[in-house]
Amino acid sequence: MNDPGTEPRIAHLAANDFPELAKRALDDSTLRGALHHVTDLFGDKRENAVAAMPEWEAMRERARRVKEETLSRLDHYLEEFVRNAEAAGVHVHFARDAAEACSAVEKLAQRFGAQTIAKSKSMTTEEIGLNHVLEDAGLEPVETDLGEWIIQLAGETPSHIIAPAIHKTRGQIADLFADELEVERTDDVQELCSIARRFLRKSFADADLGISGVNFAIAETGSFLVLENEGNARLSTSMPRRHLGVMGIEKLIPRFEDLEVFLRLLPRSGTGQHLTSYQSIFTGPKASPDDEGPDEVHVLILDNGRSALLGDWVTRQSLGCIRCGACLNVCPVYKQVGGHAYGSVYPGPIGAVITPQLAGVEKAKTLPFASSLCGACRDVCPVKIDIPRLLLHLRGKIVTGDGPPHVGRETRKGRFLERMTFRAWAWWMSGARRYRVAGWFARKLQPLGARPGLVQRVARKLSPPLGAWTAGRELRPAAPRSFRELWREQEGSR
Amino acid sequence: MRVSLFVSCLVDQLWPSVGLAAADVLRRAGCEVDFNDEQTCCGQPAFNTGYRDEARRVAQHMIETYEGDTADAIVMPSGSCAAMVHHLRELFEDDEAWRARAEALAQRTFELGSFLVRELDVEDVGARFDGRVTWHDACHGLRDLGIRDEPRRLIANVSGAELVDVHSSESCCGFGGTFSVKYPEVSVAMLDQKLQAVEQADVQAIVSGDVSCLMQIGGRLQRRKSAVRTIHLAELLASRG
Amino acid sequence: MSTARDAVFASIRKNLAGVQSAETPLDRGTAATRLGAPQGLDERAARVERFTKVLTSVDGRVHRVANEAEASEVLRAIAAEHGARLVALSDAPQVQRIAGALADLETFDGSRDRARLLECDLGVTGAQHGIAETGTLVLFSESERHRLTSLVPPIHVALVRSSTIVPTLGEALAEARRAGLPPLVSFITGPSRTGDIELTIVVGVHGPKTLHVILIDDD
Repeated sequence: MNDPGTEPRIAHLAANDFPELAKRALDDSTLRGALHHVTDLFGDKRENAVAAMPEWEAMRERARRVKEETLSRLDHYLEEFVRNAEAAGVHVHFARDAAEACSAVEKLAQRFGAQTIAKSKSMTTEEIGLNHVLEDAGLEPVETDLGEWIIQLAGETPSHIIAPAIHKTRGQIADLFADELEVERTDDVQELCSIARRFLRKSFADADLGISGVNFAIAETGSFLVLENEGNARLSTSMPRRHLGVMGIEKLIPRFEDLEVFLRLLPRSGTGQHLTSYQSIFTGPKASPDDEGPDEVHVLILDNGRSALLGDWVTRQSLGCIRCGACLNVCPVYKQVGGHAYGSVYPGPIGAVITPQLAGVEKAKTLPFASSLCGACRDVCPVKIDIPRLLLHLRGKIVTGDGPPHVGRETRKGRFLERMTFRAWAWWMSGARRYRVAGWFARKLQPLGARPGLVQRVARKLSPPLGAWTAGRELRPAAPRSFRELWREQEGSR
Repeated sequence: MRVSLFVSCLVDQLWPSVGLAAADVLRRAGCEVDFNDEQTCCGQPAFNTGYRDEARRVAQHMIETYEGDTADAIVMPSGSCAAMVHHLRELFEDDEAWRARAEALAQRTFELGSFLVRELDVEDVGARFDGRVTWHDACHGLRDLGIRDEPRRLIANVSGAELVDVHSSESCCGFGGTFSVKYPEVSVAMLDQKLQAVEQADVQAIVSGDVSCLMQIGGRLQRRKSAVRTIHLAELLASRG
Repeated sequence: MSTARDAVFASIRKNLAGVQSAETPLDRGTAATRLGAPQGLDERAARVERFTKVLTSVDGRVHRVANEAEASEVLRAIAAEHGARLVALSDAPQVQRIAGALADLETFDGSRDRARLLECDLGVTGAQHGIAETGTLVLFSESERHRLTSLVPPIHVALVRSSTIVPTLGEALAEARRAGLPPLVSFITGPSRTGDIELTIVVGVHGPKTLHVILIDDD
């Protein structure tokens, strides 16, 4: 249950447009080529990395266990983290929802007199739409992760949790750089990276505040850890005089020792690396003024709907997510439509469960249905989140409208027919005689819809599911006689 | 071994030959086979669409039907229905008595191919089929019940059949129950990507353990005027060439 | 008026009321079980071998030397290879000793002069540990001022004593703990890299393009 005074929100949300966005994505052959490439490559790399780890399953189980231990005692561990972080000299801030978080960051930036803000990749700041708020306040947040920077220049949202600009080709990026940065057009990837290095170096040097995400926060030491490959997070947290880490309440792990298993799981699951190029573990600001690094370290801890998921183990699991992106790469739906179709900064299977739970199911009621429930996501999840089970849980909430979070009247009305159909179906299926009679009628009627011709065209109009099926597939005609009729006959003659 | 055959509503209405073939194969493997006429559906269509009350009602009918049935095992030519039976307990989270009854049913319920190999230790049922075939791992059999090698071993022992494993064998066919009609374009796109590899493999047939997948795959192949056929595992194992 | 902090804690407590976790807290011994840790790294030779192999596989360049004099020679050769003239140094005594021998180079303390740091060709630091499992360098901010020198120049040269290479991530974390958890613990595994454009791997997008590790056999 959410705190009544808060309004959890995900920025730039268009999750209810999934049906249209998905169709648009299916028509975009460039996008689909890029998607096949990224999902195949990440998928293969992950598989190879996992195959080389003998205790993989035991590690997943440990990670799940540690997350469940943490989340079911979150008040305790969060208190411990805050106490230890403050003892180490970190300034700790809290925000109930996205709006409060953005305004807290804006106030901090203003207090620091910050103009340029160097940001390293953070899904949480994407979730709260921080850049827009800072820009509206006249500040200059600069995304410094290459993919995030490309997205920022293009005015788009990320399409993959760990490879945010993967929907763009090098040609499109070449055009973007030429237009936005007024550099000579090149589609050489090495050159494009050099351009990014040159431009962003200046931002790091100018920045008065560096903002990073947080991959793990450790309760017993008050430390937090950031993983990356590019070095932009290290620069963002080393060059500016202040460093702010933004994290959701769920990023905690209890013990420093617990890091080991997560450091083995996360890179392998995400990119198939045995370790990303850099891990930085921050514990407080520099010890003496002579040292390097920021004078002040701040942490902003965000709720934004998360605490409402703690009460039930089914929903609580979603807070165990470590944002590796593995479920995206194996999802047959994501592989076809990509991240933008989900209309949320959190795409793919995990996005389909996180988005409606944080923002409210009425704002993302199409997403839990955007899955064939194949279960590939559950098999790769490094913390063993049962995503299909969560999808079913959310489907149940949506079709019955028994919130929380509440479902609007419009949804209920729209689903009235489907609901009546399933009610009738349940009645027919819960008695053998009724079932036989219904089956007899169905077998007489169904072939009319299965045979192309005028009758099928009319039937398709009358029955949208039939129309949807036959648009791309033939319908198998019902058998003239049911199995049970044939069985009775066969057994009679035995 | 006395086996009660649960054919599933789809086999009963659309694909009765699969049920007859399953009975034949089980008998050849030495089982005494019965068909309980009270059976209807496992409840999965409602369960997977979110209609838990409706699913529960059908599930209760299913549980009651087989409580009155003294067979040693309930065998289904469907990994999806068998997996559903293993999920039934989730419908009775607040009802200990029904949950126990659901669990008792799950204990006695098996998918056909894995039943032959794991429970009966039978890998060769004396079938003959001439041609190259490939196996489609239906998602729920594969990921909920861990069925991977069993059907492959059974197919490998069909004389004349050559099993070609394609890299897309484990990808979802895009059916997903109501998903296939809620998002038909996405559903078909998923299948088309899967079929690319199958078509390159130059096989005569795709074999699977679930008629729902075969309905999806076959419906698309037919629309694309493909020469590749769809065959249920039971039919392949019952085939005499 | 309640603060955001109170409100967030209140909401967590309200939602957790009555929740019984299936999981009791892990005891420290179990938490430290090295799940997934590679075996057979008890001998130093095995650690050095694995460290070198893994780091090389992610484009790190490893040079093995017998003593500091040889290390100086290798550093000179590296500087010559890259045409480096202006060299940033961390404040570690060993770095000062080894790099100080290079009279033809202009060296400076990388933590003191940001303008020169942004212009320089090469940065030299030590490392408090290596990790055999992952080919990783471990640097503590309290032990030496490594933060910018290891990051800003296009080439990073790290001096590592082979006796400091620990077998696994778990041992490295334990060492960080033993060192009193300095404000920054940096793990570095290879050069800076990105795959953000069409998943084409490019090194040196923000941090060093090249990482040289001079491994000193210190006994």
